[in-house]
Parts: sequence; structure tokens; C-alpha cells
Amino acid sequence: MIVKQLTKTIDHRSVLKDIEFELSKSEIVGLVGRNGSGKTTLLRVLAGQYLPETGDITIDQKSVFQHPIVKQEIFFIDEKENFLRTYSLQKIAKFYQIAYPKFNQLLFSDLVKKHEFSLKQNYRQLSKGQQALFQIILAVSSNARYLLLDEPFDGLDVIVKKEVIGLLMEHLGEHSRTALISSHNLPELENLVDRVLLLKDQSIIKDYRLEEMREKAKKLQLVFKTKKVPSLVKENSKMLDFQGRVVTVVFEHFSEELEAAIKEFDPLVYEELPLSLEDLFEANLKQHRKGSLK
Amino acid sequence: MIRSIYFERYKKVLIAACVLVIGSCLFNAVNQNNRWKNAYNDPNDKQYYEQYKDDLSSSWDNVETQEVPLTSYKDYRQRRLTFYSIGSPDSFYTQEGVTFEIISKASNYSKMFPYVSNFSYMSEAFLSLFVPLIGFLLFFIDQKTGFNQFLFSLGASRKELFKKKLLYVALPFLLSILVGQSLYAVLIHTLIPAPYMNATLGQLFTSVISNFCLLSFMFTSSAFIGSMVGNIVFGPLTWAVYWWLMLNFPRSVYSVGNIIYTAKQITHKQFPETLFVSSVGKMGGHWWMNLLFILLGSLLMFWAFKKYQTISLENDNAYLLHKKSRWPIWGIMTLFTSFILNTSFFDPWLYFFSEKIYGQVDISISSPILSNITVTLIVGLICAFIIFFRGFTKTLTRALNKLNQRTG
Repeated sequence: MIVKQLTKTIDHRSVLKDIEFELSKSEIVGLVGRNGSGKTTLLRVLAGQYLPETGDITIDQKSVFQHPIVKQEIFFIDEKENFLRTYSLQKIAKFYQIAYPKFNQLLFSDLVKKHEFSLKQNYRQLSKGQQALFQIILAVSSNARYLLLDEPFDGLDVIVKKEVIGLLMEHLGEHSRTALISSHNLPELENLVDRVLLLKDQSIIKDYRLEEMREKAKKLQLVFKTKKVPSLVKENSKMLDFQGRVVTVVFEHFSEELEAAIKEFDPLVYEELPLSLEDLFEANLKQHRKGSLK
Repeated sequence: MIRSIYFERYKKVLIAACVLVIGSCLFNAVNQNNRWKNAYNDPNDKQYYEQYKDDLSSSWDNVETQEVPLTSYKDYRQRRLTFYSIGSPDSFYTQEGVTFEIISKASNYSKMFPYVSNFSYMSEAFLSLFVPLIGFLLFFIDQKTGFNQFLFSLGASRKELFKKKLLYVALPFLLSILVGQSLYAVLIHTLIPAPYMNATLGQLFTSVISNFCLLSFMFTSSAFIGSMVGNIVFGPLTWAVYWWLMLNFPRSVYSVGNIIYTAKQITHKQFPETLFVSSVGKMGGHWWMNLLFILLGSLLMFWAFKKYQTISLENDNAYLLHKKSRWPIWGIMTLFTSFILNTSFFDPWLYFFSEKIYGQVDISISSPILSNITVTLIVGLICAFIIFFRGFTKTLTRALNKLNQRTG
């Protein structure tokens, strides 16, 4: 899937601006951004619910706007606005069975049985966790190539969360599917995704491949002799914390040369800390106070 | 795929709606037949005739300019039990020399006469509410139940979604009207004995077609409203007001005719009230009116079809889903509403001409003009408030929802 120059304005306010990215086969991609950054809007545009002002979404070189049939490769259930509430699980399954020609009925029946759902039950009678689990069952059974999941772990207890993640991982791995998961829960997302798209100021500002990131990036805690942080550190890093003379920074492109250059300043403390996705999120999306890093 | 999805979603409702439509038509036939039978078997009928025969007139004598009394009980019975007569006020037609003998023959037909059944009792009114209501819900219900979110994410174009909804949901429903009304026509023609059934099957079927065209227009115009609005309070309210105005539309048109007749001093005629065939009977309407209804309905559906392709669901709570249609919609709303209010409810022109021509009162023309302008201005302002000031509808909807939650 290729997304090109997607722009969306809602109520005269730009929500998405020149969004560009690609989703490759068998990738699990996290969509990260602050509240109101446009994550759900982006998923809704990709699903065809919102029409963008400009831009295109193509699957196998076919635009979803000119060849809507390719949307059969996209699965998305809107968490806030959906029709499921009024129907039984059986009826909902029937709708998705019709909508997705590759719907795996056998897999669906197995999963429903395994997770002890009664198909006669009404969707609104399910707990939030069960609803999320059922949505994931539908998603994996649809056999769509691209699963768009909006905060799929939000508000779930640990047991259900593990079930949802387990189910998702099992399916995605087995069938080489691609998932775009928007989430606030960064520690969880970190264990799942291969790649992270960072949404800020209506655009995707970063496209991290976590494996590369873990190799290249470093989180350091430094204490220098003076309160002034060397410009070398300021220019090459993003600050996470600054208390007294203790500064915690993230270097996205760390190298041996950089390490040597920092050590030339003879820091009192030079300590490498474990780098998490949360750190990257914080470093890129946190509003920095003016003059905090001197 | 889309057909199966629509079938899955609407099959029960659609079957129920079709059964209800056909059932109401059959009920009409049975009900009218029962009313006729009751009149036929009325044991007090003779006594009634004897008591009031001097007051019961049969026709109008143009020479003596007075009503002619009934000649016999048989004559009275024939008049009472004949299924179709001319609608009120019939004095216009009797003054024209139209006698009962002419009306009572099934083969005699004039498209200028507003024939009515003597035995209907508002039972056909059900369709004039139910059909437009289903039309309104055709698109509005998917808009408000989150089903559009599902539909728009399917591997189908908006064009296909729209066309197939009309084909697989609207069309079967509309056909059920045709089936129901045809059954009614056949049944009523069979059930009422020939001497009293003064309409041919051909006349009844012509009426079925005209009635179908009218109901189809009511359906499509309501579907148009349902596809254009998104606000949960003001959307249905707009349709309800439109429905009420639509019911008064024939009265307005006839009123305009009568204003012209009055202005041109054609005193002995009434404008023929045969343009709108609101129930199946002897009155067959006019082919050009049917064509007009179909054309207007198709035009509205084409407009809705074009706009459906541009719906973006972030606006699904807005009063009007399509910002670019604000001005034409405002224009139509203002003109339609003020036309009906100016002709059906205030009607200053009929009063003006009556006073000026027949009352010989020196009355100024500025009075009806001013009245028309005031009504149009007020209507235009109200419509503008609803359409152009989104904050107004949003705030009011929120307030109503809060009130609803509190009382609930």
C-alpha cells in the first residue's frame, strides 16, 4: 500500500498534511501521535470513510478511489462509529463474510469456539474486552491484506490484552498480513511492531524501523562539569530530561565518532540507558520549554 | 456483494414494509366494502328517507335555480350506494348540468371531475405517511446507525452503493405499492355490485398509475431529504415539516387556480381539483402530471446520487451534509414553504380579489404584496439560520439531547 500526499481538512482545520508512507508485506507498523494528532482520521481516510482533499492511496498500483474493489484488501472497524451494536455476532459475521470474499469461515468458527463466544449473543451485551477480541477475530478471518487497528488494546485487562495480541501475532505471522496499529500504549506497541510512524503537526515526521533504531540510537545520561551542555550534544540529540546538571538525551544516529567527541568534553557521568519507544515518542513529540537546554 | 449486504440488512424490514403496504391496500378494499355493505343493509335507511326526503335533493335546476328533490326511495338508494361521486363542493358541477345519471354510469368519465369514493374513511392516508417516511429513512438510517462507515469501507464505489440501494431496496418497496393498489382496484371492482360500481377497471388502473406516480414522488423527495441531512434532530424535523407542507401542496396549487379564476371573474367554475391522485378511485389524474412527478423525482434522485459520491463522514452530524448545496437548498426550502404558507394558510390574494371585484371595496394591492414578502422573509430567515449557522443547530441539538438525558 502506498499513501501519497494525503491531505485532509475538517472544519477549516488542517488535520492531515502531505501524508506519505508505504506499507509492505508482512509488516506490523505502529501509528503513534499525541491525542488529536489525526491518527483516527488517517485510518478513516485509508478505509474510505473520509474523503481526502488531495492525495492517493494505491494497492498494487491501483488507486482505491478509481478501483474501489481493492479496498477488499483493507479491514477497518471504526471504534467509535460502527453499526455492530444493534446486531448479533452471527449477523455481524454474515456481513463481513459477504464483504470479504476471502473470509475464512472455518477459522472464524474455530476462533469463536476457542474464545467461547455465543453467536446468538448481541454485540452490545459483550464486555469491552470481548468486543475488542471479537473485532480481532473478524479482522483475522477477513483475510484482508491490510488490517487497520485503531487503539485495539485500549481499556482491555491484561488477560484479554494478551489474548488479543496473541491472536493478532499468530495470524499476521502465519498469513503474511500487514497491520497498521494506532496506539497510545507504547510499551506494548514496542513489542509488537517492526516500524513506527510518528504523526506530528498533521504530518508523518518520523518513520522508524525499530531494528535499525535499536542499532543506531542511544539514550544517554550525561553530567558535564559546567551547567552548559556542549553544542555537539544539543545538535545531535533530543532532550528527554534536564535536571540540574543531569541531562538525559536520545541520539537517533549514534556513532563511535560521536561517542569519542562527547567523551572529549570529559563528562562526569556518561551512562547508557535502555532506549524505549516511549523515549523516542517523548523526544519527538514533547513540547520543549524554551531555553531548557543550555 | 452489495446486493447481498443490502439484503442481509434490510430483508426483514423490507418484507415487513411491503407486507404493510399491500396489507393496508387490502384493508382499504375490505374496509370500504364493509362500509358499503353496512349502508346497503342499513335497516333504518327507509325510515331516514321518509323522515328527510324533502330535504334530500337530487340535482340542480338551472332554470328555476334551485335544487330538485328526490323522486323515490329507489332513487335515493341508488344515489346513496353508488360508489363514486364528485368531490365537495359538487354544486359547481351540478350547476354545469352534470346530473347523477351522468355520474352513475361507469363509462362516463371526465378528467375534470374530482371523483371521490363515498365509502373511504381516511384509510388511504396511511400510505401518504408511510411511503415518504420509508423514503426518508432509506439513506438517513444508514447515516445515523454507523452503517455508512461500513458501506464506504467496502470494495465498492459510492455510485454502486447508491444505485444498488435504489434497485434492491427502494424499487421492491415501490413495486409493493403498485401491487397493493392494483389488488385494491381489482378487489373493490369485484366486491361492489356492478349497478353501484360506477368505475371501470381501466379507470381504476389509470388511477393506480397516477397514485403510484404521486407516491413515488413523495418517496423520492423524502429520500432526497434523507440523503442530504445529517443532524439527528433537525434532519427528521425537516422531513416532518416537508411532509406536512407536501400534504398541503395540492390545496396551494388549487388555491392559485382559484385566485386566477377569481381575478378573471370566472365565477361559475371551480378550478378542477384533479391534479393530485391521492387515493385510487375513479379519478385518473393527468398523464402530464404523472410525467412531471417522475421527472421531478428522478431529478432529485440524480442530485442525491451526485452528492452521495462526495459524502465524507466527518460531517455526519451537520444539518446539511453537503456544504456546496447550501444555497440551492435554502432557495428551494424558502420558496416551497413560503408558497404553501402564502397560498394555503394566509392566502391574501384571494381575499384581495374577492373584496375588490365582488365586494367593490377599494383595497390597496400593497396589502397582499406586503403579506407575501413578510411571510417569505420570515421563512427565508428561519431556513438561513438552520442551514448557514451550524453552531445554531449544534447547540440546539446538544441542549435537546441534554434535556432528553435528564428526563430519561
